Amino acid sequence: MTSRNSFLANLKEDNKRRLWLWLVAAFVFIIFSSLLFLVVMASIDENGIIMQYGKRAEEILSISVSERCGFLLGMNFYRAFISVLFAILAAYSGFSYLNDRVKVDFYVSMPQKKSSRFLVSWINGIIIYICTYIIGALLCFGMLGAMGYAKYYSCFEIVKGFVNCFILFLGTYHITILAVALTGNIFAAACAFVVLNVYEFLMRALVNGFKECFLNFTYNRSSSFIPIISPIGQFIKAIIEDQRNNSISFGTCFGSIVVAALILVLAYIAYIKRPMEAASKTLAFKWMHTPLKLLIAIPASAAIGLISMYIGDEGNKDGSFLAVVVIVMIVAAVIISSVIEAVFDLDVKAVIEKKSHWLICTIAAVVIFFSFRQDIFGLDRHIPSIDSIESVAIDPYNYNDVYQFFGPNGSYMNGDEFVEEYMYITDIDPVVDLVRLSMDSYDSKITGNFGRDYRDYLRYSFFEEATVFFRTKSGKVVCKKIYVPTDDERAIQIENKIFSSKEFKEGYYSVKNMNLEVTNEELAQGWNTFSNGLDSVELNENESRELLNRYAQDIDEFTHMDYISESPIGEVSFALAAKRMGGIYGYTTSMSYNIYPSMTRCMEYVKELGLDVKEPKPEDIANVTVYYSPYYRDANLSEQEYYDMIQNERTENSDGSDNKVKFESEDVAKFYDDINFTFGYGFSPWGTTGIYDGCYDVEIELKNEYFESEDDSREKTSYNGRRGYRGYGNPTTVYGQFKKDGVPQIVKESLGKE
Amino acid sequence: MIRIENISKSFDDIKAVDDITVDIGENIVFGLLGTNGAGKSTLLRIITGILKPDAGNIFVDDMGVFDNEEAKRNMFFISDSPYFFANSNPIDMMTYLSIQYPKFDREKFREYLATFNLPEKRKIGTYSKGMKRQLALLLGICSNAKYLLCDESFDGLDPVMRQGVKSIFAKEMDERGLTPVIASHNLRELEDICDHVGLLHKGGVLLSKDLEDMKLNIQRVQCVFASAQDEENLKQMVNIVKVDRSGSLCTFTIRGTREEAQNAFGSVKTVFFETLPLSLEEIFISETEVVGYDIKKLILG
Repeated sequence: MTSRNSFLANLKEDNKRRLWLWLVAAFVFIIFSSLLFLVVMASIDENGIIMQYGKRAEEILSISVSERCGFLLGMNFYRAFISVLFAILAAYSGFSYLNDRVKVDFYVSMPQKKSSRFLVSWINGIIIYICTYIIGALLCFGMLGAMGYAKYYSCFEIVKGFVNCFILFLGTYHITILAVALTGNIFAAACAFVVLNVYEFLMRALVNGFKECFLNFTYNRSSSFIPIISPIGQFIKAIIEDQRNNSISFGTCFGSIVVAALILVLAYIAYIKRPMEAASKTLAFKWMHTPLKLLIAIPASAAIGLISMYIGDEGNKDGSFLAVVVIVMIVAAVIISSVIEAVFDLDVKAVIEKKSHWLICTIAAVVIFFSFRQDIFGLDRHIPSIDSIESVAIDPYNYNDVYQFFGPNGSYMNGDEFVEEYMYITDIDPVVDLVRLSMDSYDSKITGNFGRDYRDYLRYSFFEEATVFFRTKSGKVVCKKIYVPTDDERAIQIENKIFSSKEFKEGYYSVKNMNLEVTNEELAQGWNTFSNGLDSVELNENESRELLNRYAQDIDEFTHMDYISESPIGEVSFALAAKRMGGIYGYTTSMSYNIYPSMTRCMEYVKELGLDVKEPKPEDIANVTVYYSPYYRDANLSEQEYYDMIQNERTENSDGSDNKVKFESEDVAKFYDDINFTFGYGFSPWGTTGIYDGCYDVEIELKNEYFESEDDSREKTSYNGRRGYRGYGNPTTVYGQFKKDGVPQIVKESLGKE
Repeated sequence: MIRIENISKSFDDIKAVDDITVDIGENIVFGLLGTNGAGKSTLLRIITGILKPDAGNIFVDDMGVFDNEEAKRNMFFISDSPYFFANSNPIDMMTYLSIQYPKFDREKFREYLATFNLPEKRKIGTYSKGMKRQLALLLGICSNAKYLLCDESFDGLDPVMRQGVKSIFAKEMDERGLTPVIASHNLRELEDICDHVGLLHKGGVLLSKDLEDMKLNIQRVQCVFASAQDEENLKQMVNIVKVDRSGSLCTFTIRGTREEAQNAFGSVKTVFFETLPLSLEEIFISETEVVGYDIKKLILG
């Protein structure tokens, strides 16, 4: 008998032993998935869609089919979930004999090399998965064809889903094999599986948690939480890329395969080197006991210290509180170390053994804690030298009220991701100056052991948040989170230089690099609007495109000084059709841009459309209500004053009656000139907290006559059929604010804030 | 031939096998005797390549055994709890083992199943413990492996079955040079089967000898000496293992052949002397007492 025949015969025999696995796979991937698919697809009410959407029915049907297929057939969490579950079952069924002495005696005494035995079990698990997955997918696709929907969903999506789920399966399969090979019983294998899967997740979360707690200027990118050596992490990365670009990058696929291969190599080595007497023990390799214990106990103790820091951080950060945190860490280190020892030895009496580990864990956890707290590595204020920086990107949070970012193909990105991808500012000095100025200002303002709430109050009252990415010539990216002082004249000058630059605009406004490419089909019909604070009107495709074009031109000339000195007169919103978004979420939330008076091209067009806001005159106003809400906004409160203020606020009437005053139309004329009409409620975009007095919100109710005089030639279809800013609040109300040092005396007196 | 050279194996802090050196010759029945925890199973599992020794070497027909397919093909290991696939019958096991052992004799296996009254289509899970042991032995024999290593496989077999297996062993040894290695903690289980016995205790080998040699080289003589001087003279002439005295009647256990014993006793004045037969058990008692152990406590139960 040739070795090839022997291999095939062994494969066949192994399959006989894993017949149940075939049955489980057939049930999950073929029977259950197909039935679920059938039920979900049958729920599409084609006639209803045709009746409801008319000529758009085809598009809606396509979206509906794509969404359902995407959920059940393509790259999705359902397929990922069952792939992961099956990988665990397949690996355990193939290698669990390692945990049973009787089976080990039988299999290992057979004249078969370890490598061959490994190969047979490994390949069989993969064969079962691939066969059943493909049959199930083909069956679903066949049903799709039979229903006449195949044209709405491409085979490529199915293949993409299969490839990514298969890579996820492989990674999880290998991790499970590794977990089994490293341990000696099912409980230990389950623990090892969990540890191997979540360890990097948790370590990253811990490091980021420490940075978040103790470092002011380090920035945790969302991607910094996604582990590298993790099939699940790689899959999440692939899903994010798919949603963003509607495709998977070769790099991510390759990375996932490398991770899966790396884990396979480790699993194979563990399998080959594993002493066979390990069956029924906790760990297969005795030498792993101490390192593993320390690798778990030290970060866990440090994490408990960090958690207690978070829990106890209510204005009490003095030495006594730190002493409590240290004691908590000591107790945690002793308990965790003892429990792990007992688990490893499978003997509860082992809790009092290896007391030296208590000391090691305690010291290491405390060192980690204080190394972050004292920032002994100088991570917080580190920025690369100017000579080494190639370009920078800066994301001022919600600057100009922009909070939706889209890639060139219309995929959603958050602001940090967007600027990191598209902004390349080469005039580096102003950005570095701003970063340094911000750090110095923050440090001088927020010093001492303040409580978290008071720190937040100072931060949100006097600073604006931004993220800065320094791209070095060596290819490294250093991220910093900065707090820019809002009342610092020098900072405003630097901001003007940066935010008015072409490079900033091209990397910040998605309209600059994508909207002009949008086709008619890609604009979501019925979702493109202009709102002037009272009304929202729908723009047709040509109007949308024209306004978009004009906005892109206007923004080139719009400066930061314009921005902080003007109030927007309205907002233009655009939405992209579902197919542009990968067919997962249907219509996306619109991206919105504020229109300012100095944007002449837009203003002209808005007037042409008859949509300009007629700023209300004193005689149009029915009444004005001014709200006083000092929370987070009042200036220069000491920590004690701040907490007293919060305490007082809590004891006030729930309707806040002590803090509001209403003026009838005859009194409004006395301070009409002090009101700055703003577009929308609670207007406080980036940088303007230094201009407007955030303690006062002005609500202006207009007379009905004001609306009767409107040009009603155009249908006003506000959100949900309601008028008012985004359909919220009183439909006949507009909003305003007072400038700092510009709060009218009558208002102060009426509120008793003199 | 299986050559075991200075093998040691520890589990955590426990030394299971301690520097054992033994040769297991071909075409004999080798009995591995020892108490529970003496290291028998560990030694067998090392011989079959399941466990890797911490030190020392094992050679099976001059081949290293660990992860060596060829060497393992010459061996079949029957553990103290033989494993059978879930829901399998003897034919399923035969099919699997035929792949692992290309020389597996299917015909013979079916014949033996019939001889031993083991239904070939019945699920093994429904077999009694004794039937499972028989089945494991038959599978091992029919694998045509040269060395059959049995861990406590004979313990609990009824006398008829023992006799049946014994005769199969004899036949296979005669036909193809089978070498069974049988581990047991009970000397009485082995004495009618083995040609050679290795006695393990606390991980080491107390002795390893051919039973015939042992029987030939130890004698028991009862006598009454004419005088105390005669007794002293005799003690100078023989290698005494043990002396029991009851009044003037002395019972000597001595090393040497029967002829040497008779010559020695014939050369001193005795009222009478008589050479008595020794059982295997008595031989072991004597041999182990020499090295300071009480075999009654060790293996006779």
